[in-house]
Amino acid sequence: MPEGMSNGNSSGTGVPLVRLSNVSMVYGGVTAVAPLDLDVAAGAFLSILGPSGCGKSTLLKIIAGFADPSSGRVEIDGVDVTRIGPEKRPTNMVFQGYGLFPHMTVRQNIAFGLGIARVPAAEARRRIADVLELVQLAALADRAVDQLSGGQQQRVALARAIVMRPKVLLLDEPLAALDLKLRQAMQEELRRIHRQIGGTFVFVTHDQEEALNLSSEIVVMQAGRVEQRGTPQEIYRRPASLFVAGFVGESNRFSGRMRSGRIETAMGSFPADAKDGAEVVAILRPEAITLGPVRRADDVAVTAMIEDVVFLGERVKVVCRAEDGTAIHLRLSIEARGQLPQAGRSVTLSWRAADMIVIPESS
Amino acid sequence: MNIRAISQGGDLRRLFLLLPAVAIFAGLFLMPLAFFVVISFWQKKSFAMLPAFVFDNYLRVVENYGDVLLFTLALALVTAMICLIWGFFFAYAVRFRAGRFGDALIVITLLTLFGGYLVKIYAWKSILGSEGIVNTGLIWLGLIDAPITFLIYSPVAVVIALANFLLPFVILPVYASLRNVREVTIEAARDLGAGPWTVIRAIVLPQIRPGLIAGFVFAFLMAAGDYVTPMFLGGTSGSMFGQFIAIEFSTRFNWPVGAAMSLSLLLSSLAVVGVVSWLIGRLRHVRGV
Ligand SMILES: Nc1ncnc2c1ncn2[C@@H]1O[C@H](COP(=O)(O)OP(=O)(O)OP(=O)(O)O)[C@@H](O)[C@H]1O
Ligand SMILES: [Mg+2]
Repeated sequence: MPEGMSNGNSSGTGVPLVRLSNVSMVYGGVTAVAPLDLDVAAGAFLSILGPSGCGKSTLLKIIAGFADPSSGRVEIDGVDVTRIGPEKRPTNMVFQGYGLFPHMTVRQNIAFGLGIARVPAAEARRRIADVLELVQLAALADRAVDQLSGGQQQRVALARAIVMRPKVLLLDEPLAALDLKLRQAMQEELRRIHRQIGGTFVFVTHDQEEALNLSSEIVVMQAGRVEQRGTPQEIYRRPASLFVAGFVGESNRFSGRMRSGRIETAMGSFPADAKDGAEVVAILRPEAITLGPVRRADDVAVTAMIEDVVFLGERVKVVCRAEDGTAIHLRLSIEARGQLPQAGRSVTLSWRAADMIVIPESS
Repeated sequence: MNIRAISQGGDLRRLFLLLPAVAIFAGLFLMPLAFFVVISFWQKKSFAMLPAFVFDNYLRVVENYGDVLLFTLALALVTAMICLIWGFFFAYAVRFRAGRFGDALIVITLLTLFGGYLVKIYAWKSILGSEGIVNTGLIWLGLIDAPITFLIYSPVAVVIALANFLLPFVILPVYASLRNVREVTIEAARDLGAGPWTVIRAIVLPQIRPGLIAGFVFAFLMAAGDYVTPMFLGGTSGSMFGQFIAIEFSTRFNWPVGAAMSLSLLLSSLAVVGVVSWLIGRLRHVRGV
């Protein structure tokens, strides 16, 4: 293990490493973060996911100490740091836009924080060498940072924060500026680095795929509030609101009214678990739908016409239309030489009733 | 016509277009300077100049005016440093603290340039004089019994007035450089543990070296070559080199010595500018690991 990150004293005792209580942020009448509580366990890779302007960066800045919360309390490793500036907090940040020091080399950038912390020269040299190894930049150590590619700059920003061994590493959309291929490669890197050094990561992103891919836990935010918190599976499979269902992954939505244990939609009525008379929406993930003969006796089935077929490599996207006109999106995985479904054909679509997530219309 | 011929034609054209600029530069700057260089080695007999090649004039500069020259350079250095420090903090506040008032502050800075030079000198006269605002104010408050005399007709008065006049010339280039300093680099430094002084010393100043050098060069050269401010505010203790150059040219009609003095001032000023620019350039080197 080339570089260890401190987990704080409380690791393993069940006390969260970061604890926000009743924290809010108001900018001159605009509420960026509504009062909320948030705990981060030691060793977690927690993503804060939400659309632009929902308060993700503000929340991160409150943890880092760059924003003074309008109310509430910030504790890190059991210490109240609410009134402590960023320079004294045991956190380090990878900034959106990196903020590398343009007049310094890669090595000088990474050494900066160690110099301020008066880490002895020999130890500093070793730690810098280790972290350069970790982010695979050893060959470029003495380059000026403005002579690096976007991905390399990103690694310098990461190395500069990691080398400090913060109790909490904060990352504000660190991959947003990279192109898709590089972004996916860096996601792999981040997973590897988190595995290798351990430590606690709080990662801000507006990219749901990135959040699903990286995190041990996801906090979905909207308009300054926490919509839902859970593991990637929980968020994807059990979205707590229509917003979460819509923001994370693709979904079919069938709205209707509950009547004696069934939801009555334009397409038909299906068994569902909700209060009688309630206006609800049933969420169905595209990959939960089977095309072809019904597999289980109690599956829900509808007949529909295939409207469009899009080949995506290992999967196909199929758009169908039920008899009443409701559009249904499917994702099918196909074998290497498998036949693609054909547009214009009439087919049977089926799914487990339990795969439908029923959410009140008003949420 | 091949490509090479075209590009040569282009080069010729470019030279041709440059001609007016070159002509103006040569006519207005190089010629007088060359003329000064030549006559600084001439001799003066009664009221005529004799072509010669002697170093007498430079000897006289060192013997008669060496101390004034050093005093002038020191005074200009102090003035330029005051402008640089003050100008930096002003520009820094405008860039990072003033928010939407920043633009207004820069416009006000520019407006002060319209005030005029002599007006400012007279203003300082009425502020610093023995019947001036400062002295009457202090006496009225009972803090002093008699007027403070060194406020006017002294080096202090010259430095105050020059610094006041030259400040905008420093603020503008420094502010221009500061605009290129991204705020996130400052946040990153703080995040890595840097206090406010370390942020300025290690992150901000190294990024604005060109602006610091430009501001210093403006302020220093204009201060070192000034002879009006000391004439009005310097008294006998605050006389500057430029005044003596003027005397050599006008009253004494000794152009060879005047030319030698001008060139001495120019060269020694350039030396100071060179050293200070080098020092500013070294800001880049931060104590590291
Ligand atoms: N310094 C500030 N002054 C005033 N309003 C601010 C300030 N910083 C943020 N806001 C507002 O607070 C809200 C949340 O901003 P924040 O930067 O946290 O959003 P975000 O979720 O990080 O968005 P993005 O994904 O676009 O970065 C926004 O409406 C923004 O306009
Ligand atoms: Mg943001």
